[in-house]
Amino acid sequence: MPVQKGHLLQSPHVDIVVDDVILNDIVSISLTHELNKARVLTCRFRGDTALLHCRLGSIVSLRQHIGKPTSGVFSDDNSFLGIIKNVSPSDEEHQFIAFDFTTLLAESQLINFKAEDYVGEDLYFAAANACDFKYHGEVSRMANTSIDVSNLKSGSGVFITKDMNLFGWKTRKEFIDACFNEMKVLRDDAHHPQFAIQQFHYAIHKDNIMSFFAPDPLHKQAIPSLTLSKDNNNIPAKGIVSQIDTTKLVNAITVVSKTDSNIYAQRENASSIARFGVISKFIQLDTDDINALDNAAEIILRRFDKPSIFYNIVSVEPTNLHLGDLVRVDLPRLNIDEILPITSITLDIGTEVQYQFKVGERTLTIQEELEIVSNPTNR
Amino acid sequence: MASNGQQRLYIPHSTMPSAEVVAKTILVEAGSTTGANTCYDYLKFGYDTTSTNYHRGIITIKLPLLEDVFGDVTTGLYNSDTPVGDIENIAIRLDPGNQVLNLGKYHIYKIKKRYTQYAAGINGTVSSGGGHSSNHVQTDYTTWNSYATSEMSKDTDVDNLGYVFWDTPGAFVKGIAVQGASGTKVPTGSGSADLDQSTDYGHGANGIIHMFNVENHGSDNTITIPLKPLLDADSFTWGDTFRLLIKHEGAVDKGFGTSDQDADWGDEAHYNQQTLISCDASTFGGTVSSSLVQVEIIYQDAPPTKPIIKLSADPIDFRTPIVTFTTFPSDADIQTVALHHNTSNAFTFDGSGSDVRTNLTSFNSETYRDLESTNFLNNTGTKNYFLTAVASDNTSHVQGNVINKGRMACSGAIVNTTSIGTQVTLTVTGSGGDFSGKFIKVGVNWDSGASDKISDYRIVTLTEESTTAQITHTYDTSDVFQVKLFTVDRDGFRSDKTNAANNTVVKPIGTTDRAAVAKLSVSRDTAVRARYGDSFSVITLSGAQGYAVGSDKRVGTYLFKHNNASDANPLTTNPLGNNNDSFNSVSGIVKLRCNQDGREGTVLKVWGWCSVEADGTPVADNSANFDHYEWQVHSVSPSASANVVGTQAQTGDPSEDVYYKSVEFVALDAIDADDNGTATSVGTVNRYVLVDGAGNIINSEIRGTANDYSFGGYITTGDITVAFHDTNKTITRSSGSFLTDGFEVGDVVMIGGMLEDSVNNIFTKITALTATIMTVEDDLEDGDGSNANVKILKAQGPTLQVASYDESSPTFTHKIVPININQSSAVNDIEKGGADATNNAPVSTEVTQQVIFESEEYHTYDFDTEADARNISITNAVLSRRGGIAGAMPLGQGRYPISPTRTSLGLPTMAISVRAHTQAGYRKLWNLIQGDRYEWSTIDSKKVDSPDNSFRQLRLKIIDGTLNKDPSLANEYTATLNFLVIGELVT
Repeated sequence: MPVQKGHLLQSPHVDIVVDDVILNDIVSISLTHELNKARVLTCRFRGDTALLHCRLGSIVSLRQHIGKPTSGVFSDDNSFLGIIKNVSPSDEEHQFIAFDFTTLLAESQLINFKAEDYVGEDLYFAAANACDFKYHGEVSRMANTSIDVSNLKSGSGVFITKDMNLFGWKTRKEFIDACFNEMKVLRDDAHHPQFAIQQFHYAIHKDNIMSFFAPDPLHKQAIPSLTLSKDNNNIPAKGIVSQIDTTKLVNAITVVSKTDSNIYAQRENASSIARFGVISKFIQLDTDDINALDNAAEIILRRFDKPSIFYNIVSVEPTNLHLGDLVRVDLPRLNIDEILPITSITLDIGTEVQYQFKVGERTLTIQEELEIVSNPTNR
Repeated sequence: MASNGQQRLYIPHSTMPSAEVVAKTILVEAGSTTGANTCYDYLKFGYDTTSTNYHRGIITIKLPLLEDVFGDVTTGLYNSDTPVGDIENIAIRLDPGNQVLNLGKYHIYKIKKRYTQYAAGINGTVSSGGGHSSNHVQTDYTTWNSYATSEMSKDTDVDNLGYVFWDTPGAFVKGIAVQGASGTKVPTGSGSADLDQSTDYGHGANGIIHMFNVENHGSDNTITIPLKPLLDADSFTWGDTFRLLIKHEGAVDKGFGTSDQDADWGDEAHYNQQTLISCDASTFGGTVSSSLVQVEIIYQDAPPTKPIIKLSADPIDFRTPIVTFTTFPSDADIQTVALHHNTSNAFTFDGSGSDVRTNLTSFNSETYRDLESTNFLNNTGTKNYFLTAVASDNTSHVQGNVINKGRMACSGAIVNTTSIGTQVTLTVTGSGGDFSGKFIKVGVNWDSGASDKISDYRIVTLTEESTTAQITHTYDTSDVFQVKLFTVDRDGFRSDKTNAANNTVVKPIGTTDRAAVAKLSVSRDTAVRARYGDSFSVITLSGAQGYAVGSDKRVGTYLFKHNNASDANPLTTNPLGNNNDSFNSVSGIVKLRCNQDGREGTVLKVWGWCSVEADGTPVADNSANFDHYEWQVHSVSPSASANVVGTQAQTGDPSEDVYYKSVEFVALDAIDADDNGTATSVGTVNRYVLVDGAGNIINSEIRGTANDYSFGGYITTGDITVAFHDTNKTITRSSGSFLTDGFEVGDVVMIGGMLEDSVNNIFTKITALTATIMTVEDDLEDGDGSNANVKILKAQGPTLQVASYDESSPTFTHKIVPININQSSAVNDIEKGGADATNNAPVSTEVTQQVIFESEEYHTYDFDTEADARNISITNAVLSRRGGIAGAMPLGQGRYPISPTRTSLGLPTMAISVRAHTQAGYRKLWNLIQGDRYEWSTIDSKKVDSPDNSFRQLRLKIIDGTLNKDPSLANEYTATLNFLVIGELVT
């Protein structure tokens, strides 16, 4: 589907194949992708013949690129491979929704994940092993309906303990999500601010190739993949919208011992209070060590005395960015200059082409933060 | 081994210190009615014709306390649930001296008076001072007539000092004390309160406990006096004290037919008849030494109950034997409970044989771990061990059940080598033990070299008992790992921790020096050449999807290069990354420099907005002659000397300096022929830096070198010797130049190499730079002032933007360099980021991607050319820009909007009306509207004062249009076209 917008070399080209049959008369497509979720392809098309091919369970492949239709060096780092899960026929236009193979993990037969099989294993490889799943549905006529885990070679250095909430009857995705929920690494070194935590995520960026990645935006010398700035002329008018979330902001904290309510520590951040108003939090810890309570209060204030900020960005053109890639947002006029990971990407190709992504990472809860900081190695 | 439970003991005895037996003698001289106030430390009774004294023996017996008999009840051995053994019989034994004749009968009575136990014993010293007990029958002061030195009355609070006569409260003994020669009988008392003379102990209601005759006997013998009747009557128990009186009783003639037929029964021996018996201090068979009286006590002492044990393993370590008593031995005087183990079923009760005895150190526990430090179950395989428990009390031992246990052995086999992220399989085989090598659990320590505690083992439970199992693991780091394992049998006992057959060498994926995987993607595979400074002429290369292999690694830097070796058609990096901060106040000139000598042949095109006078003459925008900004492009080149700027950008003829308000795009038109990837004395890096007139960096990432990773920004010092300075945050090199190496302020660098102090192995940013001193923004440690073999490299990010001024089809090559996340644990230069750009470095394999930069020439529709060719005529052209001003009405009395500001520039659009005169003109307009034919359209906006000259040449992108058949001219078409102005035709 050559989309005739923009000049010739900017035209995006879209090829969709449903069960080995090329789908013609595509009206529009939308690809959305979020961290730890399946990429979703929504495709609108015409033609009853095409509708016959687009049945539930069909395997869909999508390739799209920008440039000449027959460049000879066609390369799509974001090609999509998925399964149709929803079909909506109508009189004129039809629509199907396909999910990438992450959906196989979500809908897999439940497995009893036992602690004894996993304790001591790197969370990364336990999750990778759970991803290594072959799809045995008869509807598929494609040879390769498994998830490719050959790229999962890094490891996280976080090893499974019996205390982690991983075990029992779960789908593969539930187990993987539980693994990733635990896959947080405390980076306590010269390159990071104190109590910096690196969170792992997963996504299928291309076809059926699973990727695990851990953005490190807090690295002092993090180098972004893209800098959005006025100088770079890549922020269109109204193309960036900040979303400031103060729900996790805390600038006054009281930490009280569970065993003795007379033992407590209180901390405040005056500058944060002056700027955002006082937002206090009360938590209890299972210790009567006043130093531990004080330290916990300090940790919380340092981590949560600023609001979390997300940016919804409409890009001037599609890029080869992926989830987790770092983006620097440099807007001196708004006193913004920070590096954040991409958390969602949306590509819409229809009457016009729109490429949007969202940057900004979910802030850990106070309890998660304390848990990791207090047990950095025993995780 | 158990007895029938009946035991006997003798007192006094050194093992029973609480027991006492005290024998005393009181006497009175014949004919006396008052008696002597003397008590003697010997035991005599009867009438001594020699001294004419009558003797009576008083024996005080204190039975042993419970603890002396059954042991310490506080040790835990004592089982209160079991009744204390009862006293079944008591007897006293006396040892009369030799030559005992026919002396008559003797009776035993119980003295009824209370007695007092002193701290110092029955014979303890009496004290009337301080706290003391009142005295009753105090042995040492007991005499014929009196029995106490003091007695506290219940009605007074002081002792009633003095003697209490036997006959005051009642006669000591009812009877005739003596019958003198005159035949007068002297009564010895009138009552019976002090001596029990009424209880029927089997001889009538006369208080006689026992009576015995002593007849002629020529040799030494002993007299046994059973006290069973007294015991039965008084129910003595352990610790009780009682006192007996032994006296000669009855006339001799009663016993032997003498003449005194009328003497009362119970009188002392007949006057002048020798009835004295004098007891010796004897040994009584060695049981008692030097005692006048031996007391024999027979009591019940049941043996302990049989201990029944179970054996299990500690559920945590699967090794420590845990003994559980199904039946814990129960007994009143149990002394020890011991665990005995042996390698055969042979046990002794004291551990004197080949068995090993381990006394329990605590009792009343649910489980016992006393075997933990023994060699019980030390050996694995075929050897069996036997275990039993033995309970012992004072007199007997009871052995419990016997358990037979053998621990199994195991072995493991695993591959010699594997890769990070690749699952390895350990094959476990069990052998020996109680279940022929079958096991139900496997414990594996995948890295026993790091730590080998039981908690380091991953415990896997098999679904079914087996002699073999396969366990998988995935290593996340590269190293040499010794795998250890154990197996656990159904009883919960494990084998020894056993090394698997091989060390497993884990290598990075691929070859040993490829600890990373590179991935290269491009934002587009085709782009138009950069003739007009368009952002869509830029292709972004991204290696962000590459990864380091191993959880201890991260990507240190990303390297890119290309193969377009034509110095006339170079590629350009970072065309869009221009910092225009220095032009905020006033527009200025721009210059170019290079870190290498002799690069004056390089030409850089610089697009941007330039300030000009009304006639287009360049001028700074703070000049009075400044009129407007124009989109222009000019060329600059570096000087022939390294790090020296060349001539500033100028117009052509006459040469005039150009003043940029902003630099928007740069592209190399040509690079010097020597900038060809060949190493010079300062390396291969050719880095061009665009600066303003003051030297402020506008763009420092301009490179075009082919076939060298310096193209992607990779710069390294190679091995140098430096000194770190903490206060100034400086790195001073001893030779060479950071500047000619190609470093610039603002670069992020990795300090690599094996440093004396690994805290200096950091990523940091250059804040100031001279040839020999690099100042960085992060803290450094001094160390000893000098570090050799330091490598400083420029860290390049995962993306690279590239443009090409000319048509080309380059192939990009990419690789990544991994480093250790934890620099202090790095053991070589490579892990500390000391890699260089050669293929010998431990980098990923290279990946490639081709792209195409095409010319726009054949895809441009030029209105003026078409008009000049008379294919069309332009009937109207309207340039418009919407938006730009926004104002808000004030509240209150305001009549005009306040604070109208230019919020943003609206989109520039152009509407053009044309008439097609020829088929060629009509065809091209058709193509323009149909699409997919032209990159853009161009049109000249003519000058007012010279209509033949263009004021601007606009580039247009069609938005929509109409093509109309004009009914008035059947052979012509009119078209109305709407465009977006995307730029100017400036090249």
